[in-house]
Amino acid sequence: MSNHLSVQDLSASLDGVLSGPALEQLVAHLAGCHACRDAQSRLAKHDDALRRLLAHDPDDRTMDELARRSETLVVAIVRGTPEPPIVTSAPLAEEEDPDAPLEPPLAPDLGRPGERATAGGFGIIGFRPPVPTYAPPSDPDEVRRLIDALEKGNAGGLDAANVRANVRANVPASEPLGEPLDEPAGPSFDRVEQPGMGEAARRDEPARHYEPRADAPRTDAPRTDAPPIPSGPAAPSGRGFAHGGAWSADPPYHDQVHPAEAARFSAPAAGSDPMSREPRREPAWSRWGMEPDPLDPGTYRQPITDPFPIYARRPRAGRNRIRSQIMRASLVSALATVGGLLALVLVLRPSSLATDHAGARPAGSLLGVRLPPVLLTPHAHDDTSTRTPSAVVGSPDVRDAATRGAVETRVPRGSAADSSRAAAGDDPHAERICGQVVNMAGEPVADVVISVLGAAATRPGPSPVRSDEQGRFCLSATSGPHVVVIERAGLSQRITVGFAPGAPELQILLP
Amino acid sequence: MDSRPSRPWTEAGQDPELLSAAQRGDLTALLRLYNTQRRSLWRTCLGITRHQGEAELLYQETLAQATRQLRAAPIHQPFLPWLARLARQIDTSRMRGRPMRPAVGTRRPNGESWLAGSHGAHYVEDEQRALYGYALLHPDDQWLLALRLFERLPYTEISRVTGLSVARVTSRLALAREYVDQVCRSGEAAA
Repeated sequence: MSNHLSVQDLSASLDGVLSGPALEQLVAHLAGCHACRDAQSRLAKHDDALRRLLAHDPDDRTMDELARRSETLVVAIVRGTPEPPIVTSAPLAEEEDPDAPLEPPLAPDLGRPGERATAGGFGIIGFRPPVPTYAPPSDPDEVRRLIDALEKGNAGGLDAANVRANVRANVPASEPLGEPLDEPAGPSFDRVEQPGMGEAARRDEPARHYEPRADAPRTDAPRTDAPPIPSGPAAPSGRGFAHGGAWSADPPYHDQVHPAEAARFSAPAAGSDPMSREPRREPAWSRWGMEPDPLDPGTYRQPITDPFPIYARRPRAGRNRIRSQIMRASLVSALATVGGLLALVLVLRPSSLATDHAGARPAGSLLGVRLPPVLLTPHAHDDTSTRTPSAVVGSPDVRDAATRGAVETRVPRGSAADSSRAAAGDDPHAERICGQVVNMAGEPVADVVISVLGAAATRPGPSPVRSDEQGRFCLSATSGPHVVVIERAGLSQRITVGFAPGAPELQILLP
Repeated sequence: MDSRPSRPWTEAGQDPELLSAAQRGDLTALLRLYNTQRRSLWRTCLGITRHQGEAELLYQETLAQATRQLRAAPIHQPFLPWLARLARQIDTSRMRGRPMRPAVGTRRPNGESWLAGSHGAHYVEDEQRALYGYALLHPDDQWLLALRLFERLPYTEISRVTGLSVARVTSRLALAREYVDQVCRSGEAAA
């Protein structure tokens, strides 16, 4: 059992909910227990850290700006006008550059020239800044007076506005430098709280300037992918991070919802600046052919019925060409394979014909490919001299032979009397082989169909035969090797058996 | 005259009148209603997202969604808890199916650099570990901590806002703090 305080007690003590004896007991324990004091201090440290990080109240200006954007959005929803894109002053988490250097923010005064330069279009490849690239002319007398005042410690007497006005007066009107960003902001959003302060009254207010926070870090500077072109002295940077890539200065949004804002972001008049370009009036999500997802606010989806990706679905010409080449090569290779197979069949076909009699093509063999070579043994009773090529040509097998001259192969063919003798088993040249069919256990297997594969001339004995109860059988065939087919229960097995005088007994082993 | 209630989470103040007027189409009343809750709603959004840009997005989306669903808002109750619940629901639906946000971003949640405003790198590490532990908590526990630490609500008001009993609020807050401490200890040990 632990003698230390529980985390519930420590947490409750941090929140000040303990009282009475429980509080006294806790205080007494903490006074004497270093571990519990350490644990309590750790919890308090984490609480402070989280408060510093997340209990952040922005300044009124930032809050007013956020409220103004929200107000515009709410007004558009209530009035049924097109909703403006949601704009944020900082990039979203997924838009942040993870490799951005972690450096402390620049001092406010150091950050401003960078913002001005970015607003003027400097640093953008392919974009000529509309503002002059040379330094504005200065008034030496004004500078001297300023230095004197600073040396005398009388800088407060200088009117900064006069100094700025003097400097601006020397700048040609056609080359505006833009309004400084630290101009006084417009009326605060808090004025909405005043009774009777209606919407119409606020619409007549002069344009408010969005002034970024003075301590805004440099990486929070707005993006430069679509900078508005300053069209006059009142043109501010006016840029913020837009959700979904939408630009904050979209004319429809400002024209219809907030005329004062539209005046801020008005595009330069046509022809006023030869380098001017037409601002993109369409939100990014619209240019990409997407639409806001009504089921998931803040996200965009491709429209279901939008014909946007037609060109994407259409196959490209290069892909077509490659595909046709592949198809052509495949077709050629397939044709070559088929042709080769046909040639092989035609080459092998005569060898089967050499072993076949007319109409006695062996069953189960593919055009005689599996047939073993046939020993052509001339016999005395063969009367080949009486056979004429014309008689052979007339047989159906010869007509099937296309390549090799089947008529040139002398096939031993017995007469009808020879065949009948062979069928009776009393052929003097027939060799008889007996054997036994056994299984793996050595037991005899009955009713196994055993036949000699071949034509009638090579099968002088009865075929097929069946093994008896003892598994025994006898086969007769002309002398020489023959293919013997063993069939049992739908399974077929082929072996080559040499039929010769004095051949040993055949032992067939079945699995 | 400031119409903001001293306890916006539990006291209705002028919320019922403003909400009734807003539901009848009074745009000024609606904007005033939103304006009275904006700082609390901002802290809520920042506590949920832990990121300035995301918090601004969630803030505006919440008000937009609240405007669309204004008729569903409870009239005789404080308006802020309903807004906060809406913000949590919007963020939950937006993050569904997406990877979790980075627990610790490249900058502080308020957009500043990590080294800005701190006493040194040691404090930054402590803050990052605490934020990491907070990010790993269940959203309900994050919500309890936010109500306690950021809004500084007592347990009884947290109980009224969340609907949990006081005992359960006490227990879950303690466990959430303990978990954050364990994460910080693990980080310190790994360092």
